[in-house]
Amino acid sequence: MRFHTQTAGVALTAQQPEVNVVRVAIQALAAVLGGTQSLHTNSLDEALALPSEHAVRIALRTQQVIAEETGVANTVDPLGGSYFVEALTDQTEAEVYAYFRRIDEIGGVLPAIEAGFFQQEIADASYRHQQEVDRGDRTIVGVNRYVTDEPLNIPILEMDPNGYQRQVERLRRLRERRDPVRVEQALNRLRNACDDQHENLMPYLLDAARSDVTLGETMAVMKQAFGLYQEPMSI
Amino acid sequence: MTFDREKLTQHRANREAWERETLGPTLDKLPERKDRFVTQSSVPINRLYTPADVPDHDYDRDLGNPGAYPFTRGIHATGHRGRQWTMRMFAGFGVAEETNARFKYLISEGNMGLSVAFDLPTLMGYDTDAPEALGEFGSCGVAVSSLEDMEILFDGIPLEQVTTSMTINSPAAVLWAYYIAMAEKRGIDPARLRGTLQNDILKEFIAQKEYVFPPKPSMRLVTDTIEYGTRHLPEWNTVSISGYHIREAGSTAVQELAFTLADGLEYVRWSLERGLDIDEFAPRLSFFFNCHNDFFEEIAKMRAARRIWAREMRETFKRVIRGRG
Repeated sequence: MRFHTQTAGVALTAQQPEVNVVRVAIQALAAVLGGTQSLHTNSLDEALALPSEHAVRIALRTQQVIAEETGVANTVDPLGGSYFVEALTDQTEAEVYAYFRRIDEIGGVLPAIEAGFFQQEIADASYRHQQEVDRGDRTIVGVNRYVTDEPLNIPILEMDPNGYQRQVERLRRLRERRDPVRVEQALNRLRNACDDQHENLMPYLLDAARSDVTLGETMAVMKQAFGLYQEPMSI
Repeated sequence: MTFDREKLTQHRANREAWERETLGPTLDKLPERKDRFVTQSSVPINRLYTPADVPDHDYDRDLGNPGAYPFTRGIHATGHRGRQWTMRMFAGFGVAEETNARFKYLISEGNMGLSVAFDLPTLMGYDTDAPEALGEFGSCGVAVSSLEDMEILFDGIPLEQVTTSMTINSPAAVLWAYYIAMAEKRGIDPARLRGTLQNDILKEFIAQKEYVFPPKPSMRLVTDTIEYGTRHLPEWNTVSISGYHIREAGSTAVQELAFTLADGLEYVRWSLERGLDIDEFAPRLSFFFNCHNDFFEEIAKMRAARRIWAREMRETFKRVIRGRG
């Protein structure tokens, strides 16, 4: 099993955002010791805005420090054989299999989605956690303890104010420039392929891409063929 | 590990003696700070772990050496000594030109792999100029409405040298088609492209809610991409089965892992029904986990993840596992 890891966005705080650098460093260290193949480290300002160049650089440097200064990668799986880590690994595995059995009892993943099972389990866990925070049973540094009223002092990313106009104009020119016959043919072929269960749609989507069909136009054809999903009202 | 029975009995007796003679007086003098110590996910944690907590552990069966079944200790024999993890910073905002500049900045600072964040209209399959997209442009990622936008996004970036991850789900196949078509226009054989499509629709229904089509046609689309990738882009990870968003929605670590692995097994079943060979497509299924604050809980989650997946592949689906797990 190969996996990518991202540090927890929900763990970032808007208050005292510099402290997020410390959280991210510790989370990233856990991901490395857990044996990840790929890692994204969140930027300190992500609870407030899109990451600035400055914040992104610190997040990247955090990985570089772990890789090149700490020595944690000098040996393979340094925590293996820890009584605690192995016991917790075993316990996690047992609890995962207990969930597999419950999902099987409902009839599998799709029926469990339609029954709202996963959604309800997550909502319950989330509610329990929030209550613990609200009661002060759980400390979030800078949020419900060690609070300061220091004003925020970090740079915030500024985006090109004309970006939207630029993008809309580019799309307009594309629609003028492209070959309308090719576009129509690509969409028709895609429409027919959607209706035939035995067709793989990728060659038709590639044909549409090469014909400069836009994302919205492609999706409109597929929406017509497949319909739209409505979440069950049970939750 | 792998303990001698006699030694274990002796150890239990020693531990009981320690509890009476050392722990008891300590607790009398200085009680612990809390009645219960729990993880971020509310799992109770004991004061101390000793061989008595893993009495049946068998090193070769339960851990194995790194790079060998069941991969508890990792998928590479040399861990991160041989292959460094890929520093892959997720980035995207505004128009394609702005994100292209950010990608180049990240590469110049030592970032090793690209990861595209698309804006909300793109994630939901709308063009920037659609009425439904109004007010949402570029604020949580970059807008890509066409092949032309994709070409601007990757302008000057050597596709045959980088690996690119794209966080896109309902319209994943469409954006992938743009990426492949872009490579073709540059004269690059798509079979050489390396990267990852998130393409995990099940977790959208479960947690993130950025779905468009109903479950069955959505699963057909995912299976189409798995089939196409297996035949034509053998180095591309067609699905990144994601626990990240399940966790962000407030799940526990165990729920994150259980639901993600259940989703992964579902993609395997659909691909087998399509007639694909598990030894060909399964190695291209990758995973994506969250890493929260509770240090050891996260590490245990990742170690358990590898072991469960390896066992399910070998025992349930009879996959021949060679290296990497």
